[in-house]
This record gives sequence, C-alpha cells and structure tokens, in this order.
Amino acid sequence: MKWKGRHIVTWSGFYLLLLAILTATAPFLTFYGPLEVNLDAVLEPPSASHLLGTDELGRDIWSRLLYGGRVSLTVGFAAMLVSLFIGVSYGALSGFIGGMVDRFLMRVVDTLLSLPSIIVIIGLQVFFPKSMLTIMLLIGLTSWMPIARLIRAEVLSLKGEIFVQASAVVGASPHHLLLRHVLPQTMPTIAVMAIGGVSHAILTESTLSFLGIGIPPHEASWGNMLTGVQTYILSGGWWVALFPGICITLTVLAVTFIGDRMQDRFALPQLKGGESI
Amino acid sequence: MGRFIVTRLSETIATLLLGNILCFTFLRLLPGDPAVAMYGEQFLRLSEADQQRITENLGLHEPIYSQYMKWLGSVLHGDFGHSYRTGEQVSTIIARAVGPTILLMLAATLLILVISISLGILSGLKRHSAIDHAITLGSFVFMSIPTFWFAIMLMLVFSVHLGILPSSGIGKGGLLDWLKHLVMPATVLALSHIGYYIRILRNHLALTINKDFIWAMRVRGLSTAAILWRHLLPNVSVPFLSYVGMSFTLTLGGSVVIESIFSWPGLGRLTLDSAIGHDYPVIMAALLLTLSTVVFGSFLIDLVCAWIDPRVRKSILHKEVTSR
Amino acid sequence: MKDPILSVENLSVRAEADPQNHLLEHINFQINEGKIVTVIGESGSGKSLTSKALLDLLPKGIRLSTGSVHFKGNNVYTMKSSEKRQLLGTQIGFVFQDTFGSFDPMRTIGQHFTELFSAHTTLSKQEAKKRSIQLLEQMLLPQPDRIYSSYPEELSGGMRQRVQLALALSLEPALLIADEPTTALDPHIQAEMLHLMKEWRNRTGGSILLITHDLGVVAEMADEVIVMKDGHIVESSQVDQLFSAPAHPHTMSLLYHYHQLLEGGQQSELRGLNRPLLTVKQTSQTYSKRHLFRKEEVEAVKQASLTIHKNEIFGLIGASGSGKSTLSRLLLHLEKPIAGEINWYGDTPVRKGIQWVHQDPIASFDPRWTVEQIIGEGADYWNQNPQEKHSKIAEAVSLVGLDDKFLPLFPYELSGGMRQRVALARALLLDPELLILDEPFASLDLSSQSRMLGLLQHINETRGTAILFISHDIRAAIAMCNRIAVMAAGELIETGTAEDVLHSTMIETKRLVSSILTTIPRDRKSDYERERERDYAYHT
Repeated sequence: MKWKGRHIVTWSGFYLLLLAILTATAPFLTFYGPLEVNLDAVLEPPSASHLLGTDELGRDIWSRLLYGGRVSLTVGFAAMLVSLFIGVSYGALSGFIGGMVDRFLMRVVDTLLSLPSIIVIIGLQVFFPKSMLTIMLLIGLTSWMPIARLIRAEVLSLKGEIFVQASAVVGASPHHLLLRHVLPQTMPTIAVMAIGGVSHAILTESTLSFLGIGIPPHEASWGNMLTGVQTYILSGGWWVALFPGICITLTVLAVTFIGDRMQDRFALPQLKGGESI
Repeated sequence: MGRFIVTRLSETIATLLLGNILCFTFLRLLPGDPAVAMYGEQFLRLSEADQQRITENLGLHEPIYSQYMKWLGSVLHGDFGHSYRTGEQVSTIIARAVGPTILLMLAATLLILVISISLGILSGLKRHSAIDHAITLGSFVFMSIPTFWFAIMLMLVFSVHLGILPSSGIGKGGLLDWLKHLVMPATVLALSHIGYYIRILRNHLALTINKDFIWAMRVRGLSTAAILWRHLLPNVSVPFLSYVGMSFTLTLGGSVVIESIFSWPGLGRLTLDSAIGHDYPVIMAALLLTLSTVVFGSFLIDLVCAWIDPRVRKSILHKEVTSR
Repeated sequence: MKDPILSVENLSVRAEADPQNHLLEHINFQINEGKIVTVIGESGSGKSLTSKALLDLLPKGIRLSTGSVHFKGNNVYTMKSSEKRQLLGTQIGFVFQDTFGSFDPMRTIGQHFTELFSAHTTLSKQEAKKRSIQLLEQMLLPQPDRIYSSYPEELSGGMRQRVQLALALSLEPALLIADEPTTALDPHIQAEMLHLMKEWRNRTGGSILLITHDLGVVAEMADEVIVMKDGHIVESSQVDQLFSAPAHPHTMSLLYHYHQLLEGGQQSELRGLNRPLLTVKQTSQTYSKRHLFRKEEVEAVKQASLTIHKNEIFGLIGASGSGKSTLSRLLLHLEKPIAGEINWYGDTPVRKGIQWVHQDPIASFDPRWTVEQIIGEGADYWNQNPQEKHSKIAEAVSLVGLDDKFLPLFPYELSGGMRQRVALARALLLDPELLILDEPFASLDLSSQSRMLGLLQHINETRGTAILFISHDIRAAIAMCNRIAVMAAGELIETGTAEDVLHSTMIETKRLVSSILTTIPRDRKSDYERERERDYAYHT
C-alpha cells in the first residue's frame, strides 16, 4: 500500500525510536518517582510542576507514563517472543511431520483458538504469582495459535515445492531441508506475525492491567494507570484517563503501520489481521 | 455436499471433545481439594470418616477417566454444580446472563456487518483514492485503540459531558430506554473489531479484481455492474465469511471488557467476576458454553461457504490426498 | 478488394513510468476477412501486448502513445464504452493461454454461457442453454450437457480450452483472437484445438489472429505471418514465402533452430547395451484419495518395467497425466513404490549418482539463493572441502557454458535458457551417472531448445552420462534418444528405437506421432485430419 507513501511508516518508526529513548532515559527526564505518593497534590490538573497532572494518589503522570512505557514495551516485546517461539516450532513441526500427528496438533490449535484468550488468561493466572513475568508468559501462551497455523500451512506447502525436492536429490537430509530451505522461506510471515504480536501483547497487557489482573499496582504500566479511572473522570479528572490511552493507541498504531507496510511488501493475502481484545 | 457435512461435523465434535478434556484437566489442576472447593471450608471441620464418605460419594477415589466420564455426563445434562459464591445452580446463573450477551453480540455483529461491508467494498473498489486512504486510516486507528479506553472516552463525552446516554446497566422500562443503554456498548464492541473486517474485504477485493477471469469477463463485453455483483462479490464473500466465523471468538472476548465497563449483566461480566472471586464452576460453564457456540458457529459458517463455493466442498476431500 | 476487418496503423505503446522506452513501436498490419494471420516471436517480443493493445485493454501503467486501431472502419480507441462492450462481446472472440484463469471458479460452465447470451442477445434461458450445448458439441466435447453443468476445475485443461473457444465463438464473431491458445496443452490436444479453429474459419469465413511462439503452429495454420522482435515487426509475409525465402536475419535464425530440432536426424540404437545402470521391475505406484468411509485408488504407474544402460539416452514420452512424472519421482527415490523393485547398479550412491533437471527451473531453485549457492549445494552434502567445492563449481559452470559473471546473481535475473543451464550445472556438479530430465524444454524458446539439445548430446558423448529424457514432445525425443519408451495411462506400452516408434501400430503411439506438426506449410496434412477424426470416433 502506497498511501501517504512511506512518510507514515517513517513517522511511525521515528515515534517508536523516540519512545524507546524517552523510556530508557526516564530517570533524567522526571522530577518525581513513578511510585512517589503525594497526598497533598491529589488529582492536580497539568501544570508547570506536574507536566501532565497527578493521579488520585498525587503521583506524577508524566513520570508514570515514562516508567510505565518501559513495562508496556517490555511486556509487548517479550510476550511476542514467547508466542513466536511456541508458534513457529509447533507449526513447523506439525507441518513437517504431517499425517496423523499433524491432524491431532491442528485440532488442538482449533480448540484453543475457540476460547477467547482473555477468559483463558483470567482462568490461568490463578496458577502463577502476580508479576510482570507472569503476564508476559500468559500473553505469549495464549497468542501463539494463529502463528502456528500459518507457519504449518506454509511448511506443508513448502515441503512439496520442487526446489525442496531438488535439494533432496542433491543429498540434503530432512533437517537440512527444514532449516536451510523451508523455515527461511517463512521469514516474511514470521516478521509480520511478530509485529502483529507486539501490538496484540501491548493491547492485552493494558486490558488486563486495567481490569486489575495484569501488572500489579506497585509497578506502573500504561494499563494499570487506567484502573478505576471511570470514577475520576466523573469528577472531571480527564487527564488521568487521557494520556495513558493516547500513548497506548499511538504506540499500537505505529507498530500496526509498520506491520501493514511489511505485509504489503511481502504480499501475504492469507494474513488476516491479528487478534485484539 | 453430504460428505462435506459429515467430515466437517466430525471435526467439530472432535474439537468440542478436546476442549472438554482441556477444561476438565484445568479443573483438576486447580490448587486445593475438589471436595473443599465444592463444600467450602466447612468440609475441613468434618470428621475424617465424614470426609472419607463425601470423597467417595463424589467419586473422587475413582480413576481419573471414570471421573471424567461422570463429569462429562453431568455437563451434558446441563449440570455444572453450584456456584461457590452464591450457592445457586450454575445453570440458573448462566441462563440469566446469556440473554443480555446475545443481545449485545447481535447488535454489535449487525453494526460490524453493515459498516464493514459497505466501507470495505468502497475501499476495495476505489483503491488508492482519498476515500480509501481515509477508510484505511480509520480502520487502523480503531484497531489500535484499547477497547476499554475507547469505552471510557465515549462515556466521558456522552454520559458525563453531554449526559445523553446512560453509562451503565441494561435499562428497565420501554424500548427507547433499552436502546439507549445498548447504543454505547454495541458501538464500542463493533468499532473496536471493525478494522479487521474492512481490511479483509478490501484486500481480497483488490486481489480478486486483478485475477485473469475478471479480465476475461471484460473481454467478453460484460458490464461493470454485472462483473461486480455476479463475479467479484461472490468470490470475496467466502474469505470474508470465514473470517467472520473465526473472529467470533474475538468479539466474545471483547464483550468481557465491554460488559464489565458498562455493567452489562451478561456472560462476559459474569466470567470476569467469577474469575476474580475464584468461582470455578461458573467459569467452567461459561468457557464450555463459549467454546460450543464458537465451534458450532464456525461449523455453520463453513456450511454456508461450502454451499456458495464449489471449491470449499472439494477442499475437504482433496486435502486428504496422501501418497503411498 | 474488400476492406480489412481489422487494421492497425502506426501503433506505439509505452510504459507510463518510462516514456522514452517504447514497448511496441510502429506496428502496422491488417487482417482481411477469412484469413488466418499469425504473430510469431520469442518471449518478450511484444506479441501478447499487441493483442491487448488491439482492443484497448492495455494493463494499468501502459499507454498508447500513437496510432490507431480500426475494426470494420470504426476506431476502437474513440468508441463509447457501451459500443466497445458490444463490439467485444459480439464481434470479437478471445481465447487465452491460461485455461483456468479465464473462468470464474464459483460459476458453472453453463452460467458463463447464459451470462454471455443474456448480456448480448435476447435469447430465452432455454434457447441459450440449447445453443450452448450445441456449441459444446461443435467443439467435439464428449457429454456436452454434463460439461454444461460442471465447474471449471472439474474439467481437464484441454476441455477447458475447448470450452473457452466455444464461449469465444458463441456469438458468431467476425474475428477470433487467440493468444498462445495451445501452449499449455498436450500435442494431440493442441492439434485438435488448431483443427477446431481452422474448421470454424472454413465454415463461417471469420478471421483469426493467432499469437504463438511455435513455428509448427504457424506452418499448420497461417495464411499470413508477422514476425516480431523487441516490440517491432521485423517481417510480414505470406506463409509459403516465409518458410521458403525468409528476408530478415531474425526470421532466418528462428527457422534454422526450428529445422535443427526437427531434422537433427534420428539417433540409432547404441550397440553393446550390456551394462545396466538402473532397472525397474514390475513397479507400481498408487495414490489413495481418502474419503470418509471409502478409499479411492488412482493408479499412476502400473507394473512398469524398464532398464536404462550406461551411456544411453533413453526417452520416455506420453501425454500429460500418463504417469511419466510419477515414474521419474520413483526413479529419483522421492517416493517409494507400492509394488515392484527399482535397482541401482551405479558406482556411487543413488543420491549422488542420479541427478534431476526439472521442467520449471525457477521452481526448482530456492528463491533466496544465488546461482553460485544453488550450483554448489550438492558439494555441501558430499565433500566439505571449500577449495574443492570452488573448482567443482567452476568446472560445472564452464561445462554448461554459463558465464562466471552469473554466479552472484539470483535465478530470476536470468533468462529461461540460462536458468535451465544453472539447473543442469547443479546436477552435473556431483558427476552423476544418470541424468533425469523432466520436460527440460517445456519453458524454453525454440532457439534455446536447440542449443540445449546440442549441449545434452555433448555431455552424453564426452562424459558418458546416461540420460533419461522425459517429454510429451515427440519431436525432441526422436532427435535425441537412442531408445524411446511410450507411456499411456500409467503403463509402458512399448519400447523401441525412434524408427520403431514412428512406425508403431499401437493406437496411443500413433496418436502421439500424428500430432507432430508439419515442417513445411505445403505439406499441411489433410490426411492427418481424417485420421484424427477416425481416432476420435474410436475413443468416444
């Protein structure tokens, strides 16, 4: 897709880079700690001392936004890696082995896909302690199925490709075929899925944290900054709700633009968007 | 067609069974003794002999597979046990919550279909035009906004500032009141998923337009309208429909968030509340219900696709071709 | 003299992105009533683009820069769009090379017909159906009413192509434009298609513009010939004159390679074939389509037996679907047979001793690999020494006549002929004792075919490599092979020298042989046509 040309993709990349720099250098850019409670300055509107205002406990929103960004981006990236790892290995094995094994493995995927991931996460989190690591794992564990399905379909068709058989004829063994010829061909799909995975993970993390079952409150994240925010907006504290939401939206949007660009470059019509909550 | 239905139905049943086993395993993996879970703390205060007796009555001493069969039997009869929190029959609680959720889903699905079909076709036919760019940008934005935040923002505008729409509940009297309560949740649910539908439609339309047979139709002198209605749209409808089937899960998942924000007394909110209150029988019932709905829904959609498209009917047979 | 049906004046076409570079330049020709005009050229000569430019159907990004096209005196480019639709639908019929792409996969054949009739005529549904079935009958299609209610994918390529012709002719056009209509078809079906088109011309007096790269088709069909090269017409003349006295050097070279292929002489049987290299005994292969409750077995190869000897060039010919490719996959050990045995008597292991060149070279290369990596892949698995690998690659490359400068390129940057050389070099790297060539000429232009043929014979002579040559092109097999086996419906029906095959009495073999097109237009076979019809009656 060429619309607005490359500019929008360039801007997206620029925005993400800026975000990474800002969150990485957060201690130098803030005057308050993200967890610093100040009951004398509760729900203050944006001002010179508190750039973006304060929340219900008097914590500085600008500071929380930067530190929260660290958490949200880390979770987004790590969860994507988890789901990519599971999805690619599961899908590649299923497709490469084929036959009954493949049929069974795919049925499992179908079943898991039929359960809304948010409900599964809610159910599963009783087994784990509440922490950032848990959230990464849970999001990863519940979002690998579409990747597995796509990779499996590609591996299945690649396995029958003439060039793969041609390599077998010159003496390549099955693991050569898988690692040298089949998997590298799925790279475009993997890249696009990875990008989709990041935005899915950021959105899911924020939703879970908002619902109070994600990142525990003692750590700031864009999602848990919004927990219980309905009450404050009723009393006019719009800034508490506005800024974290904008951050999430812009970040996911930037990632999506880049992903769409890549998908377009690799032209994968079978990709049908990702999952969202 | 008959063979297609049988094959697809057996797949559906296999999926259901597998999901069932997963749910059962999940129940058994839960920390704590199932007997405690069922009877609460008072179970621990009983004498050892009484505990023994209850455990046997519940069949907990039996091998795991016969426990599963028993559980399956009761589930098939709609008996999910009692809620830990209220002690009510789970089936009663669920039955109460199903109605509002169906209402919400129907309204949202209707909105999604109407908007995405019209905008998707417009966007796909006028590719790279200003209107296509606007629709594309819009779908990306809606894909990126977190559902819950979008809901809160709408609330801020329509309930707090303008005060024209109620912010929670399902409403009591009259059709108008009822609709007023429905508007925001349904709109948020629809808009937060609509981007994907529009993109699918647009991309497949663009793909189909470039196919040789469309060119061949033009060479045979057919009018543009005939090509659009008789060839383009039918060809696009199949991938679109199968996406609708696949993404039903997503919309259901989305309703969990929406229902809890708007205090909509449906299945999603029930699930979330039960999860937070560790009310496993209710979660289990909700999960199984969701699973069955999704699986049967996609079965029905596949039937429709097979009815429309001869290739779908064939595909299920051809994919079974194996050598040796 | 009457006015021409179609006249093209000074037509030039260019890409919007690159206005300096003309894709077609100063194209002038006319088609008179009742004439068959063929446009011939190698791939990339602009012949297909010409056919699109005639109807103002240029692809996006390509524009007419000068010139005009008149159909029966009306300028195609200044017509209103409704007039043009009427013209396209009723006055001009079009047949494409791609037999599948021109049908909507979700509509039956019948629906394609009814749609056409309802758009351009006032026939009722019943009348339209009757007319369609009648048309299908005229195309000699068996069971026309079943075909009428079939979906496109349920028909074979040859059937679809005849249906396409029926659709193109259904409104009795004055001009039929056929763009490589037979290229994707088996030779005997190709001959049938050509015959159907010619018969239509004789019956109705319509004109045909036939685009092809095959001089055999030209010799068989044309009244007038236009030779194209690089977007220009280099020669245009009557067919007899073209074959007897070509004027332009490009035409001469086309003709030279054509005759080279056809009259390169027959190979005789080698003496002393006593060292078998590969034997196949009573080998069968079956594919099972598993349905829910029953299994359907498709016998791809039935009880095949053959022996390939050292130094021999062995041909395996048959129509598509006859089981040739399955047999080759068995020989390559890519599949295991369900019955029978295949024995290898070579000095090296099978995986090294038997190498393969596939009909579609680009499909047989990993798209991310360079030419050097592709050619050298075998060395990675058989000897690890990088020095040796390097010299091996250099040797293979020079053997097939590739330039070193191609090594860092990717296959898609090469021409068809060069790609096939890369595939051959990859196979030769491992010093195979047997080369299996699966339709090696299918994707090549005539001139590349004839060069490739020479190269293969050279390799066979100098290195003693045995070659199994699999093809549906009987001309090439006769020119190249010591012995030829004929395959039909999964069975090897006979094995013999080229001479034996040419004079065979087996029906299937005769069918294959009879589909050889003439080399000289004067010899157009009316007796072939008679024989074909008898043959057809026999088979239906």
